[in-house]
Amino acid sequence: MPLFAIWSFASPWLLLWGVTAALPVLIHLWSRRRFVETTWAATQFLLAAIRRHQRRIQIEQWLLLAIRAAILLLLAIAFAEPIVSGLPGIGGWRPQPPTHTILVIDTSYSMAYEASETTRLSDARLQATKLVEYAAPGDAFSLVTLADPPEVIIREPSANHSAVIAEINGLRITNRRASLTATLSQIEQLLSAVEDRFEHQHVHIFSDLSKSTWDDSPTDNWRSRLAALSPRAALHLGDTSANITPDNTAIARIALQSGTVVVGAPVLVDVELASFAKNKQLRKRVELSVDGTSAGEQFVDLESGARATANFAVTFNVAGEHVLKATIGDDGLKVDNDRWLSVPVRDTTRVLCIQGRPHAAEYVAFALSPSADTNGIHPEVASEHAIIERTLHDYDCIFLCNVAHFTPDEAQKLLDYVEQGGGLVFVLGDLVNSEGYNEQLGAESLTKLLPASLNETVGDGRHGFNPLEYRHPLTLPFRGHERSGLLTVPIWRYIRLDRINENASVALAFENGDPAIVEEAVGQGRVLLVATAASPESVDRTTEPATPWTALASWPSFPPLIHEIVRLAASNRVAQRNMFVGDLLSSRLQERSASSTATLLTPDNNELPLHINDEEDSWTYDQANQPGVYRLRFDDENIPQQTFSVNLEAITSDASESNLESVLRDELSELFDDAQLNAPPQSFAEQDVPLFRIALGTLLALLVAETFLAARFGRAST
Amino acid sequence: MDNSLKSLDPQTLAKLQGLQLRARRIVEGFVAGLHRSPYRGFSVEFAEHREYVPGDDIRHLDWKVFGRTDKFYLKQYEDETNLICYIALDVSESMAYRGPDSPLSKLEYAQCIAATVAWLVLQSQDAVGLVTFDDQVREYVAPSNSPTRLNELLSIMESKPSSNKTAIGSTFQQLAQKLSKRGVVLVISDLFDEAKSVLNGLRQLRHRQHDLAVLQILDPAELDLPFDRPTVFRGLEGMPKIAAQPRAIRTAYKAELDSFLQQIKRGCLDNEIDYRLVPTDQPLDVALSAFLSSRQSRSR
Repeated sequence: MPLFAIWSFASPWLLLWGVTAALPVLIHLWSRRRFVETTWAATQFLLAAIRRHQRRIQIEQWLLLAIRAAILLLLAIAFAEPIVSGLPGIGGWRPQPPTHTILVIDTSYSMAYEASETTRLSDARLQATKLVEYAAPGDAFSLVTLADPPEVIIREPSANHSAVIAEINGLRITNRRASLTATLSQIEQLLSAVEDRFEHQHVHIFSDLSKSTWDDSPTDNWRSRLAALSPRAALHLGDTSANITPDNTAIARIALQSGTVVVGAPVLVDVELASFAKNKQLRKRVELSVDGTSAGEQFVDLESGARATANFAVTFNVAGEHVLKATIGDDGLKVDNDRWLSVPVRDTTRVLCIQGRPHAAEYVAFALSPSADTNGIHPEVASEHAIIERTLHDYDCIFLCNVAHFTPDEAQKLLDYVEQGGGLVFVLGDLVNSEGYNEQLGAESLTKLLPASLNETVGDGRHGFNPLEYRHPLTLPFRGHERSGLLTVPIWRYIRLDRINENASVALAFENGDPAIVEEAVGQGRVLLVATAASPESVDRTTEPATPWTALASWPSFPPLIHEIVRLAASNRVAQRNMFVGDLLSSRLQERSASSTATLLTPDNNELPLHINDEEDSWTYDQANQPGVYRLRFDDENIPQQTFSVNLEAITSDASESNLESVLRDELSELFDDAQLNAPPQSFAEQDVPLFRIALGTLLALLVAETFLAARFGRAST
Repeated sequence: MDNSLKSLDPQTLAKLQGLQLRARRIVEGFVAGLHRSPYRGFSVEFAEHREYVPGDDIRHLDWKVFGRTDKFYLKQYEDETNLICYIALDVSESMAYRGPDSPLSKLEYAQCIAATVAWLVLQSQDAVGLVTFDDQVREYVAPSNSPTRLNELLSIMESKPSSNKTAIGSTFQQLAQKLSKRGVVLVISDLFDEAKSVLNGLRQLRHRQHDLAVLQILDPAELDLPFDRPTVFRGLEGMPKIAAQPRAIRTAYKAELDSFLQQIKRGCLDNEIDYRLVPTDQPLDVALSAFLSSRQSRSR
């Protein structure tokens, strides 16, 4: 910290008024030359007075002269608006006991917006640094990020200003949105922890006031919580938005239209753009690359505040891990101009169709691959022994058709399969033991695989499907295709499902409202539960002749429905390779040799040695805070690498960090204590160190002193 | 109006007409007047009875009382006697000072008072004498009750001030020798001398059994030092020139002056001398009325 102040003046030419400080001296000298003469009789008393008080009178005269000169000098200094920087406190003068200041710096990714070669975060860092530099010795600081989750960088108040500045300068964009509520909780804790040690506490928030953070929402009570802080600490806001809303365009989403990708089969890739610009953008260029090689470009017209999607058809010729990257042209906020998609590509989509009795799964297998020339899906039909005997991870999706019940080992193996990203589909039937299902797979079981509980069999007549307005991704492709037969499928019997899990969703229902297909993400995989049978072999034998549960398997809508089920069930094979910033990266290694070691290559090309849990052959990495591709590599070249794409959160609404619109500062003014709210950041120092006010205050004090002393020294006596 | 008589302004004198100068002590005099003598004798007016004690003059026994009471009482009488008033007027150079806002110099003001008193005394057929002094007695006019004496007194009073300083100590010692008969001595002066010396001089007269009254005449400017601009004070009575900032030394000056005045006042009080400070901006009639009233009240 510098020892001496660096002075500057807003209006230095006004310092010329300082020469008026010589006036009292000149007047004094001039008046000495202008003596009047008079005769005087009482000279003896005059002489005595002068002799006795000469020294005091002289001191009083000089004191008055000095005060009068100082008044004029201070007036000139105040006119010139002095600014002091780089000094601890103001001239080392400490008007108050040490204060505690919590510096709260927004690190959400809108703070990465760059204009004039400086980012909003740099601005915030600069303001916070100045605040620390201006602080008097003994003033202590804490440092918190305005993020989600917020991070307390300095918890114990630190009076080591250099260290605080170093921490401020070490702050980086967290590439996520910020949670004001969560941050306020941290601030409340920090204030409470030191309330007995500091009489005065301050909270300085440096933010761009982006709407995603500062907008009011019905569930967010940050406004009242912020107001509640007011009695405990003085609240200050440093706005880094410079009071402008720049245009921005972001890639909102990149996704495959198919759940699984196989070699040679073209797959459609959607790249959705979101505009946060004030004007329409014509022919906005979108480029897609596969493994670093351009796979084409498209131009889309983008209305102001609207979205547009560019579709790319990509065919992979080699199985393995591939990375797609979508890019748009640079703008002020670069971080949302790229998105990545990791795509594990297989030679075929392998589906295992396990049947509880012969023919129970054959219709499913036939629907998936009706002809000999493969369409990329390779179904295999097997008995329920396959659950134990086969390596389930080789399959993208497993159908369990009319399997009566499961042993605990089978249940555990199915759970492992799903948690590693597999897609599991339970198709019920006349053999199914509901109680056994619930016991081994239900919510009360160890595995908790089922998304709903199985109850009694319903067989009170013909039931059709209710598509629930085609809202679910499973039924969405049927929208507009009512003649596909989905709505006319006759179902006579099904097992009633209830107690739907909290995270599960009903994809298709019966006309009476009972769930027909329920799905839920479990681990990295997905489980679907179909309430009726997928084969005419499931019959109600209580009637004569026996009545089949359903004609679904023979209905025209059956093949597309099964394909959609596979796509949905296996979709997590892709999802488990694609994360958002801050998510935990992890996987279980299937082919790792005991001696091999692994490293993680981060987007900024750092190689991090990974600790692998030998018992589970799994690893985790919780510092994926930078968007880009993370590659897991093994020293054993025979083990294929795994790629993970980490992206910013999907942009689903206007309340995104990519939307650089700020809330109106006037709406926040009542919550904060100072006028800094409306001042540009550059004037922060001037406001915080109002030397002209101090000069005026001193001047006023000197005027009062002069009046008092002049009266006391004799001017007022008559 | 004649210049010599300007101090006898009829308006002023009219206001004083009802007042009678009564000496605080009754002094022995030659001419019976309106003033009570402290000496009980056999003069004119019966005063009271007193029980006979051996050695008393039996000529004053009241036989009628003896006849009634069979006790011896002496008759006592109040003698009427005249007043001798000596007016001691300071004519030193300092008395010539006239402040910037004053119509009269201290001497002119003092002359008015002296003339008025002389006139009043003569009006009551008492004797009045005049002494002018600076560092010594300049003029001495023996006391007389002749009304024609007034003009002579006024003429002497109006003589120009001397250029000498006030020296009351030595002058009053000298004066005490001259004033052979006891009377009222009215000292009119600014008393600008050492306080100790002034009091010593006054004590000389008191030792001679004179009834002393002191009117200290000061210009308002001397009391307040009302100057604002830097000033060179040209000293009178041989004092040096002093350049000073009046605003700066005003308080100190007033403290010094006040200390001096307090010494004089206390000294007069201790010696039973009637003292009064008279600023020259005070109307003459007010000053005289206040002074004569206090004399009256003290004589009772």
